[in-house]
Amino acid sequence: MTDDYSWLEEPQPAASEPARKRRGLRRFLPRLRRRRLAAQPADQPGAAALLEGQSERPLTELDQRLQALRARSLEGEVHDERQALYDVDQALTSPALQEKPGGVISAVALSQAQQAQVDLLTEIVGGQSDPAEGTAKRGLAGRAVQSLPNIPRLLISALLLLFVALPFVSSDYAPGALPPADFAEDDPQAAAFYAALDSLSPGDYALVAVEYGLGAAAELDALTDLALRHIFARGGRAVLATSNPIAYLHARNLITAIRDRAAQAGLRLVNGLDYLLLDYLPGGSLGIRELNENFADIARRSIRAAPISLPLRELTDMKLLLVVADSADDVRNWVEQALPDAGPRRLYAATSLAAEPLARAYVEGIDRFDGLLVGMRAAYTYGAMLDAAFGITPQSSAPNALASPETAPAGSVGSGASSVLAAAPSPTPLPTATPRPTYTPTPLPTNTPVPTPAPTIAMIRIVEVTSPQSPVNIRVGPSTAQAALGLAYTGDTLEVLDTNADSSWYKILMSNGWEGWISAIVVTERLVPDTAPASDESASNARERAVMSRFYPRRYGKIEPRFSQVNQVPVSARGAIIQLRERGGEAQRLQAMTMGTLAAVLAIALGNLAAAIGALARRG
Amino acid sequence: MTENTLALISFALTLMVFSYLLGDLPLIRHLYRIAAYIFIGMSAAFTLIVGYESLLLPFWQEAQDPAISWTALGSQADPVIFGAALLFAALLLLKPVARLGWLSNSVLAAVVAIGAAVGVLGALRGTLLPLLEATVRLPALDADIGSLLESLLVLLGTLMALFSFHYQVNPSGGARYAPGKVFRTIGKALIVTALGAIYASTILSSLTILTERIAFLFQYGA
Repeated sequence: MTDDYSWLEEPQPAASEPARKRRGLRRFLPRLRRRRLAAQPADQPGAAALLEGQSERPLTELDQRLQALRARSLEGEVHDERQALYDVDQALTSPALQEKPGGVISAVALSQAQQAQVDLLTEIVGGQSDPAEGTAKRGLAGRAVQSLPNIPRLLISALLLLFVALPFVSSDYAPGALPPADFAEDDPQAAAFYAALDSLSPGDYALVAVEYGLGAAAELDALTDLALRHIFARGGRAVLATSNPIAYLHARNLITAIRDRAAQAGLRLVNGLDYLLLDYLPGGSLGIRELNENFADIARRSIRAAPISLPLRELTDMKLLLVVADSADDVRNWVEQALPDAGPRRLYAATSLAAEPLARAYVEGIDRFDGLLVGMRAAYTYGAMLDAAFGITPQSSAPNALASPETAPAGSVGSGASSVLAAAPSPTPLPTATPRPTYTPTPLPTNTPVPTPAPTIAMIRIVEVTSPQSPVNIRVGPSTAQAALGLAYTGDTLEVLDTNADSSWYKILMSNGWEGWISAIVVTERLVPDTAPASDESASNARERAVMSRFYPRRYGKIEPRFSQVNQVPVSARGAIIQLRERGGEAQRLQAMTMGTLAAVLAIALGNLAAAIGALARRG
Repeated sequence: MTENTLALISFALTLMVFSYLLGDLPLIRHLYRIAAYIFIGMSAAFTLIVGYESLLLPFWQEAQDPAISWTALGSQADPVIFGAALLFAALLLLKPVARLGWLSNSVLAAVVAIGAAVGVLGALRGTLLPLLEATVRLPALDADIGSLLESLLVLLGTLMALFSFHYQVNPSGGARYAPGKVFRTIGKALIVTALGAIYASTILSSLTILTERIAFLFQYGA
């Protein structure tokens, strides 16, 4: 065969054809060339000839079923196409053809032979020649619409739901054993994961990449929640990052829930200090690469204020990298874009069951990969290990064993917050048998005297921005007519210095030492223990403030860290973060999964059995 | 909106999704689809909001502040690079204009090319080289028999799985070697087993989600 493909080239314009001139702005645009197939020269092979030149595939290359069909045809077994293609009508179901009066179909006149062919084809593929015979009809959009429930689907669904629901109804239906209480028993990779997070020292940073959407939240939320609590309980600091916008919102919700629960125990978790939720990283792998290259910039932008005590400059400032993902591709993206430049840091992953086969096979080949947690079973064991490590006796296994903030027994602000911190110096584990006094979110009237603080811990007044319309202004004076001095965002806390005459404005202390005014409408006042003196600020932090004040002068109404450094609290007190998590239902869910698996296997087996019996009946 | 209200909405949406089990029936089908549309629409809206809050708004606020120098905008890039980025972003807006679409196509081509370059570099450094190193690494001679067998199984399994893919027609039309056929059959069996394991894991993952919803229904339906 010749290699001359010149006949595929673009035809040259005839010499007599003048080049078309462009006028105006069009002459600056590129002249797009249209590629056309030239007429095939007579001396070149055509497509049919090329095909003819190909060798036919040998019969042995055919599928065995086709070979058997051919053999039966040659042996004379098959005298009718309908006999040869049995089961086809089960495999192929075609929508019914609906003939409309005056439509195209009625205008087509078929010969008797053609009609016979059509009937044969219709019978083979299981179609309905007469729409009145079938149960299907067409909707407005032309799609087939059922008029009766899909019985097989309904039966299978009912079977599955029944099996899955049984463990929630009665504990008698609890097949199989629950996961072990320690990873060391059967999962060394999970044990390595736990050991890595458990070895964090106060002030260590752990990058937590949250890369799953709402669909995998039911499976991975528990793992993310436990990992974050573990980091905080060890005094570490979590830096959350994601290249998935839905995951960004999910991570924000998770960290907010943890922060609110920790606040009940008087432990303040502050964005930009104890944790840092980085802005959404657009572009997938490009976003992760951007984080790798410009970590400090992204961290500064994400805080929306002056970073106070985050000495984050590079990805190598992280003690470890943790990826929670619902697909192996997300794990691979982080491994490829972040791990090679993360210095000696090691990678740990938590994935869903669906992602496990590929993710495990992938990460096990990576040298600096150490640990993997998978699904809810791992979450169950992880929670049990954390409870044991922090001396917490699991409470009732009933759902919602821990009271929600709305139903928690009310206690005074001072007693609730100080009870945990007052016990902080004691190395003994937290008592768990008695209900914990909790914070009552009722705002204090601003014109009432501040309650007397506990004798051991000084209390200070703060306001927390609670307005859903964030950010809000911090102004030079107690009036909206005054100039804005800075911004504060929902969840930000600011120390109160004073109020105006009618208590409609708070005079607050901003983190750079400035004083400003914020409206009482957008904040809620509370009392918190002052656990750290203001003079704790290091020289480097002060220097960073000075530098950042040039760039973010309008954004200083953000963070007051003096009373919120979790890692200043002993580990025993930080165990409250572990204790104050949603519990209940894990055992039932795991047992329901086992029952669901049984139901799925049963449904598949019964379906195959029914299909086999049906096939045998048709052959007979 | 109170937590109970949100829970009730979640309860109703969960039941609407489960209505799919009844089949593609009139009226019932709309319940399922409405829930699916809400889910998709909310996801799209969340994405837009996050993009606005995380990317555009901070950038715009900083740009409005005269006290912020150019170098503090977005990154430590110099004004030339920042200006080029702005120019490229503006050119992307020309996409709907048919005659100027090639300008935005050029920018898109640059983005795709950079993305591909980053991807290739990351794949080389993060995946191919480490995995190649791990694959060719011979097991230690003093390794236990289990490790040796595992390495051998991985090696043979990989080869047989690769051997099962063949794209060449036998020109003679005759049968292939019998040993080759055996290898291909084993390779296909390994591939089918791997796909089956992935499928089973997917079912288990779906069951996890189902159990969460069932637990939710029992919790709030009681």
